Amino acid sequence: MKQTKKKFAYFVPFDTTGIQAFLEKQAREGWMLEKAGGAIWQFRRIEPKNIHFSVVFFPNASGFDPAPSEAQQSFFDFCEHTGWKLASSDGKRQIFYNEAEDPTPIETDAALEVDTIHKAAKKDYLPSCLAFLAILLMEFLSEFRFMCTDPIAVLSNNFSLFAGIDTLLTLLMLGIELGSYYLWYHRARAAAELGTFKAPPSSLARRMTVFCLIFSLIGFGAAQFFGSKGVSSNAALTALITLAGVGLIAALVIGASKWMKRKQFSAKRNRAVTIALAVVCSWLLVIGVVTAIVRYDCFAASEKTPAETYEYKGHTIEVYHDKLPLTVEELMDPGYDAYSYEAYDVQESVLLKYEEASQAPRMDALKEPQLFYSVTTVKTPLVYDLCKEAALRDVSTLTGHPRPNDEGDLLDQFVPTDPGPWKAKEAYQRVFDGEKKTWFVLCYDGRIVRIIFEGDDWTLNDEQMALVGEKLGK
Amino acid sequence: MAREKFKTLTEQMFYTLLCLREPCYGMDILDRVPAMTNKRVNIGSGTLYTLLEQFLDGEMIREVGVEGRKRSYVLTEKGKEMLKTECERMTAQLADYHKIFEQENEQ
Repeated sequence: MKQTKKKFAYFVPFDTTGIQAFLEKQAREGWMLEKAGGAIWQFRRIEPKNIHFSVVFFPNASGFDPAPSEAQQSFFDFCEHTGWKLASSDGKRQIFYNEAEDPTPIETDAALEVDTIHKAAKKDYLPSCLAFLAILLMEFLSEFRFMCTDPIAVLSNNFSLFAGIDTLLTLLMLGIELGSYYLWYHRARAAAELGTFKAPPSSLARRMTVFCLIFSLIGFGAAQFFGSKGVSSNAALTALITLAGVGLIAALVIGASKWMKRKQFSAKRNRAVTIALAVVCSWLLVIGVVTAIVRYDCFAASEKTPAETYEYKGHTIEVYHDKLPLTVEELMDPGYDAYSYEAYDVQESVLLKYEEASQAPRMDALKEPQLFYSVTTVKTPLVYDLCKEAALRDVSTLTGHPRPNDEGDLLDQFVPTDPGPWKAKEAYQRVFDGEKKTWFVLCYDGRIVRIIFEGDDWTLNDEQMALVGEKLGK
Repeated sequence: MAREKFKTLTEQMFYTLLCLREPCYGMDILDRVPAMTNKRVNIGSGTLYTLLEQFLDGEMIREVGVEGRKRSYVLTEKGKEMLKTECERMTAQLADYHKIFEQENEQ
């Protein structure tokens, strides 16, 4: 029969009530706490019985201490005197047990208990949570900015999409956790004035964070597995190596700290070396990942072999012969046949599919008719308007930011045009400085097409417009 | 509004200081207070540990002996004064109580 077991249980450090109830239940089931952990708790088998547990804090203790200080030992002596034996000590958190039927609690003054918890929280828990909150906020703001400028790029990429959801949920949950802590602290102080102890908030928000992270990872994995595209294999590999690197750094840093504890390094030295090691390793990982991204062009389009190449003014120009859904030849007779037909990498997520293609002449024949277009297939109507607005705003990506004139009107913008010939629901044409350009945004059911007709000889007739609608709008 | 530190004493503070009228090991206070109060007042070990730290910081008690990890303490003049002030406050409260109820009984 198994004499020891490890159990996964995730608590915020100050969730005294939750931890006590968990340990008392384990004891009733015949398992006595041997070692408390962040998430993995070790137990040894005992006769099932009712044992009282008490989770208290010793604010001056540290997870880096090689052994309990004399003051801490003296505290243990006090507790043992009233029947409370130490079950496990990790940093500031001390867990005691008492087999007496109705023992005097370790903490009998509500105000002092609240102050002690807060004093301990201020040393470790709150600074680390606030630092994490600041990092998450910066990350969220950067993702939000990217989302505002180019929502199609974000929404059509599972990686960006789930990373964004992760950041938002983690931020939300951390906010709830910190908010409920401060709310508890103020209410508990008020309750202590009346002599009652208000238990700290439960670990629900923290558990929800872990759940959300796991959910997002599974969601991302499932979306990739079921055929959505969005990240090149190099990028996925880089992400995996980064995750593994983070795990390795965590293991290395924790292992080094434990080794220093065993070797009786002082808490001060242990903390300094551990922090230095974490910072150096993290920098090395960042440098390694950035180098890999740059060297192997991880987030660029996947590598394609051109059908042919040619030299133009010292540059090697690639020519492709991809099959495109719409070609210049289907719309008109260009009288030119040295085109490069290129279909770019498809970006696809659970919300969007984004395809882009171009039919370009050689660099020495830029006056020949040419075609560029993108098709955004919107899988959920919720994001349709967002994508449409982004497509209409997207003049900036090719011409620089739209500039308002003296009257405040934009010189360069898409204006509504007749959608009938395009067989679209809505159609918009680019007007630059009062001059109509052959650039269009066409809105179909569940599809947004941006199409650019470049070069000379583009006087579009109804038949050509209808063909665009038929080929790209369905 | 939070209680101003040591302006008034809780029962546990009061009895802890009372035990330290003469030198006493901190740990022994855990037994003395219930004995003194017929188990009406119990002090938790964590609470006592924190109280002793705070009384030392507030110079209401001082350390007078060390035996291994056991330390003994005794009241300082400041501590005695604090205890006396608290006692006078409670006596005045008691006197007010009797005055009110005796008047009621006389009527």
